[in-house]
Amino acid sequence: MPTFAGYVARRLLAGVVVLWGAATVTFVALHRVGGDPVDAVVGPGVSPTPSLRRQITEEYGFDQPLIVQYGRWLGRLLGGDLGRSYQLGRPVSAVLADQVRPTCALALSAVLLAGVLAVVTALATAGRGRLVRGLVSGAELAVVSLPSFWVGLLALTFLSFRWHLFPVAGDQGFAALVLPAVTLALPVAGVLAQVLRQSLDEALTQPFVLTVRTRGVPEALVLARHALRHAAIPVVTLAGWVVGSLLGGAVLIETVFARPGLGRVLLAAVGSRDTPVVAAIVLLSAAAFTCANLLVDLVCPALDPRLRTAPATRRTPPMPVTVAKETPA
Amino acid sequence: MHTRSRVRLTAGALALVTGLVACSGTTGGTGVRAGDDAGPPRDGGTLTFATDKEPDCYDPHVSPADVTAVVMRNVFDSLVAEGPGGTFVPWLATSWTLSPDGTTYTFELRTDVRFTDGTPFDAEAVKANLDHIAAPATKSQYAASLIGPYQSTTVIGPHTAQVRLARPFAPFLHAVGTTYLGMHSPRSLRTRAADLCAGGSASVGTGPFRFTAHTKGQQDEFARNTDYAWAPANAAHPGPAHLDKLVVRYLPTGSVRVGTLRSDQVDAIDNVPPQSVGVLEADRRLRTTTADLPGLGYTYFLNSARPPFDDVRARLAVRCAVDFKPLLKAVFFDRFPQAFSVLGPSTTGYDRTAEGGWGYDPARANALLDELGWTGRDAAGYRTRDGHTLTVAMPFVPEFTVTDRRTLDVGVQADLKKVGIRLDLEQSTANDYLPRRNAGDYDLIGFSWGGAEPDLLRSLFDSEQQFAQGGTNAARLHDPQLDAWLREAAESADPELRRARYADVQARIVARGYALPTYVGRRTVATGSAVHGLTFDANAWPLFRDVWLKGRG
Repeated sequence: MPTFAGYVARRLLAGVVVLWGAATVTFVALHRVGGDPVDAVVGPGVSPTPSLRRQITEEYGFDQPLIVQYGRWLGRLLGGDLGRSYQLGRPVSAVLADQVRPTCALALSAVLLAGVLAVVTALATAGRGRLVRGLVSGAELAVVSLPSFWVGLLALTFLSFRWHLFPVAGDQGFAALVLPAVTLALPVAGVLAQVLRQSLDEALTQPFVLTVRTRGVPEALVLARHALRHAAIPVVTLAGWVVGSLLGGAVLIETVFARPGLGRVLLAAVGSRDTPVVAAIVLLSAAAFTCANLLVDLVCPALDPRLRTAPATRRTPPMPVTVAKETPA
Repeated sequence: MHTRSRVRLTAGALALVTGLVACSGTTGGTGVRAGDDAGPPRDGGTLTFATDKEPDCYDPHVSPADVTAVVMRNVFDSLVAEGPGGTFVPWLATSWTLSPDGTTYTFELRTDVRFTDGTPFDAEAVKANLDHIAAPATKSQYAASLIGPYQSTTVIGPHTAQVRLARPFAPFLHAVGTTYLGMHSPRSLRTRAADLCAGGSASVGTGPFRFTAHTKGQQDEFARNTDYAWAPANAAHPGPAHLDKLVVRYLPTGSVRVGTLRSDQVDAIDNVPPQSVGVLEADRRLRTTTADLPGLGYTYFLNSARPPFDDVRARLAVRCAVDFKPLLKAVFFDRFPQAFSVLGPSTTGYDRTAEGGWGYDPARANALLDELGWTGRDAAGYRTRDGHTLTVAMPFVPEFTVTDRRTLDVGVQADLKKVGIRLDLEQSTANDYLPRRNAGDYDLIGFSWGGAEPDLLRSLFDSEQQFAQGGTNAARLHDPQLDAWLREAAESADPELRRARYADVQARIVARGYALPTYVGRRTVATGSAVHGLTFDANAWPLFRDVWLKGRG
């Protein structure tokens, strides 16, 4: 299907442009915040002697015009060189390489868990009476609103410190993944369940459901086979938001549960103004967003036959909602 | 050979704890021994120690971080070891001499020491390490300043190294005894120079442990160096560590560290938050060990280079206006005593006579401010003079400070308000703060500065140590009297003279109100009852060389 291949190619190209934009905005933003980058390199505890200052300035090229620094940085990025961390004294790529896996393990298990929880609660409560829906909806609202930092500490206090059911995470196998993944998944599951139930309810009022019911199909099958597929599209288009919540949530969860990962590295890097690390993680996040949205664009036609026939004039899915996450104090 | 009298205590956790606290107060936090009464030490087992901050860079030649020194002490030995009161005992060096002009140290080295990669330890290794610290390419953030006037090392014989300094420098041996001047294997320095910050297998020393695994964001693992036979003369035993394995976990949240210890997920935790010390002391299965942190505790520096603190009376008014007793009780649960000198009691040269020498005196604060002409009052009750409110600014960066200290700042703000001084606590970003600090655009700033050697006062108060010059003269002083004393003490090899000069310096700083000491910081380590033999060195760094576990294999 040449048009489909062309469509994917165009989307990929757009993704590259988004990445370049993110790189540029990051560079400008990190240089706009002002201050002497030498101070960032040596850290707050030390006041550099003039000779150390000169040495660092020359080595990192801080005395070059900004446009030259930008050009060099972009050139290195194209060559796959993310630079060297100021604080960790190691190549950024080496720093991140160790951290991608634990964060991915956490994010994937959280997203899986959130998906299952959302589908199960939505299926169980769609079309039910007001009391059941009210209770479940209230619970969902609660898990969305509670600060995950606090939920994490509470989970640790009871499930780890008091009842010894799970270890304080770290990255040590499945048992250590349970608490952080659940804590990270809960708010995501809450939002997804609310959206999914609403669109399930909407689907249940459609004429095709009436047709299915008149064929004598049991109600459970009506929900699971017919209405669910119909209702899935609004949920799938939330993928961008989900990626955002997972990245933002990872910062808090990784700190509370003392797990290694990108979130913790990012937190430390922002605090110590480790510009190369911050820039690299921003780029990585942009890449994750781009991939997620690309996947959505590919999955939606599979779910909705109407989108398959004419990719050129296809309906644009609604913009993913970005929800601001709380940041650690 | 120096040996120290050991603190022997009878059983009973409570007696032990109080004994240890008292001991640390008088011996400078050194050599505090927990559980020598538990029978003969036995080998084996894994100890998991949880601390809060993870090292950014594992090369102590580069990093200024306290945690780097603590963690890497297990890997890197030093030429000498520092004991209480600024005394030194042999370690990798069996003896040393100082030339009469005070500029040349000659170290005789042990001949039986090997790095864990098999490289023999010799005078060439000493030279390679000291040159590595001094090399501009290393970009040393702390170690290089510790050996300030270092010029060169000459290999006199295979096990004799001569270190030449540009001028006499009394703090040199202290510097040599810290982890910051620990000895890397010359092979690592040569072949893995770019990886030294990363830790793990690149960090090769002669220490009691080998650095076997590093998981960033989680933990570091160390395995016993079975060949070890060269512990410093003040260690409990000369041979290999008792532990098979040491795991250092990084748990940034204080309550999580406490929870993991109480649920037996770790064996020891570092930096117990002050509010949790009481709970842990009450837990009979646990033991707490406390050491006063040497060096400059949390201190407010008053900018004497601009009004209003260019006048000694304004500075003393601040000193008299703050009632520290109730403040410290509220913020730190009475865990940290009030400080009367800028140096902590466990610092070499601490002037004990300063204790209780000054205190809360609001009447005097008001009299001093009246005398300065700040007699008017504005609508909010602050003092005014010629229509101007008496306002002082204290910029700070949340990321550089500890939350408890910010709470203390707010308490000080309230006390100053009572005498009519308006203190503005100005939260800023590092990017705004550092240029502002370097330009002297503040009335006061607060920070602490660890270290067992009183020469640290020189980088904090000598007139040639302004921020722009790479120093930390936060009070922006130009006091020729202080300069003369500090420089004399830095160059003198006479401990009594040094002690006298540092006492003069401490007294003058407080009398002239250049800086306002607040509290004596303490490090509390809590351990499970199986853990024995944990000690602190002169810098209040916990040592694992002599630690052993009872009843576990």
